[in-house]
Amino acid sequence: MSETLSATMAPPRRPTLHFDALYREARGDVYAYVASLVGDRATAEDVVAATFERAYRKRRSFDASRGTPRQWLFGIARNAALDELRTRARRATPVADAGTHVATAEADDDVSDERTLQIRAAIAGLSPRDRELIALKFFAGLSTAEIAGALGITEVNARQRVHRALRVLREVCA
Amino acid sequence: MSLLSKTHPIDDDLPELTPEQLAELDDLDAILAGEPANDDVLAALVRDVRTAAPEMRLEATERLTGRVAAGFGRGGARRRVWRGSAMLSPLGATACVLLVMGGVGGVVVAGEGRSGDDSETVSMAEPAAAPSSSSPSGDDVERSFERGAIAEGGAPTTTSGSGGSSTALSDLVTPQRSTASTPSEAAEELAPKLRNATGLLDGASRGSARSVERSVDLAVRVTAGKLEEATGKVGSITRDANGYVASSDLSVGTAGRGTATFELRVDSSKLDRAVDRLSDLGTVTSQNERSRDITSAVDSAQSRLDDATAERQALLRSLAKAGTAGEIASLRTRIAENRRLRASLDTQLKQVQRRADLTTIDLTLRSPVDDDPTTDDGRWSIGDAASDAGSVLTAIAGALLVGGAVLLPFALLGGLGWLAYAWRRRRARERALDA
Repeated sequence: MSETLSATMAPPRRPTLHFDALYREARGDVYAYVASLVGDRATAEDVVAATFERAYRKRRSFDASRGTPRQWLFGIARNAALDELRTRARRATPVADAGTHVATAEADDDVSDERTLQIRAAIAGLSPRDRELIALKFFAGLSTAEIAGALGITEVNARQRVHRALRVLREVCA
Repeated sequence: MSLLSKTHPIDDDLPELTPEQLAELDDLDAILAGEPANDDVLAALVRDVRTAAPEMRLEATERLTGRVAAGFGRGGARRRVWRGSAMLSPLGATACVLLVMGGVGGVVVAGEGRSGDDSETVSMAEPAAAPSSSSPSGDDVERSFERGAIAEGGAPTTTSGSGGSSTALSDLVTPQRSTASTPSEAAEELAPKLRNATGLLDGASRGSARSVERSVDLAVRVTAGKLEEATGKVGSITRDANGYVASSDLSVGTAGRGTATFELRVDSSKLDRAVDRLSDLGTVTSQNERSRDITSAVDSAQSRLDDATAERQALLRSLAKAGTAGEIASLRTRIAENRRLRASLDTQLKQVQRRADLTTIDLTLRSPVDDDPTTDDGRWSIGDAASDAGSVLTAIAGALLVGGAVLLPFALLGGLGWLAYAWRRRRARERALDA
């Protein structure tokens, strides 16, 4: 009872964002997500760096009432990746589809497992939106609500999109 | 973000999920959370996809980790600049708001001053407003100034007559910047000018042997408790001006507060000095001086007296030449009538001349009453402070209200512009993903 009371009487504290912990926990997932969007490795690394730099600058504006730290971080990563894609489009340089980049860039990895290569090729063949959802779900491990928050859509629609992407992935990986 | 998503939903038009599909998604979430799987195929897919996740190169990871540890050195510096801007932005915004409100408030206050409201400081700061002036056809000259009138117009209202003093009066009403900081000081500053102007009129009248009847209404506010003392000085001032107290009425209440009214007659040649001394009894709240040219009345009375005197001389000469008793008796009767007539005319002449020689001063001495908000003892009290504070707060509230009304449309436009920009930016990003 006294604990409840003290908890009730305690002044509300705004949850602080532990940036270093978030970085250590999410950097790999952010890279996997960004790489699935932008394609080539160097660009993905630059976008990831820009993502964490933006997040570092905005870390005091993080509002836990509007979502989890990972949702917030992947929202920043998405904006950074889409800005990069817009910059590419303005340059009007002939670039291959990001999916091709995913397949080719990741071919640089020391991956010889056939199943892995097959999966990567299947993912690269998805539409950008489906590829993004797969990345957010499988690579980042975001919940449906977090995906909805990161994409700025409703949770119902996020669930529909994820299921559609999952269905497509199952088909291409079958 | 949530507002945008609700305002401009970008949801795909997809069919609602069946319970089986929802269960499939629940299985996916369970597998991703490391829980036992009901769908082995899905579990294998999850494992394979996660295994196929691209990984960041070690050197890139180390480079980024170093930057994170250093707080994004360059980004940190930019952050400091941004923090400075963040500190300056509210200051700048506040300054802009204050400037706008100050400007608006100035316009409002100036507008209030023009509308004649009781705004002493503003009105006194711009005393250049020319007083209303008119020239009636009569011989009356009336000059008056009251505290309120000065505060509103910056100069007393003057009505000039045909006395040959138009130059002096025009000089008087020529806009001049007052150095007085309060209406009372302005009244005291302007009083000698008014008297000088009327003195020029009187001098002009005297130069042409004209007679002027003058009267003064003077209201003086005296400090509480000093009403009787001031009343006592009125008599001596009047006597020094070769005058007398025609009537007086003294009403004194508690704490020496009350009102005293006097009707004084003073030598016109000593009027200015007398008025000055009476004004020194306290603070002049109003002063009204009137002049009336009675030269024609004096001349008329003098002429009739002269005629009667000439008639008497003629009657006396006729009496000296009269030969019969009846003629002598008749002349003596006419001489007696002439004597009565001359006495009457002489009295009339003296009465008229007395109107010019003596000036009536209607003096009111008032000691402020506590519950009378229109009275003031000239000292700044707690009540005055509360009143001033209320006025200041009212002015500030009014300025804020007007400033807010001015800024609100800009704020709305800015908000709409920001929403439009955010919407366009988001659509552009989404298009980049579809490209």
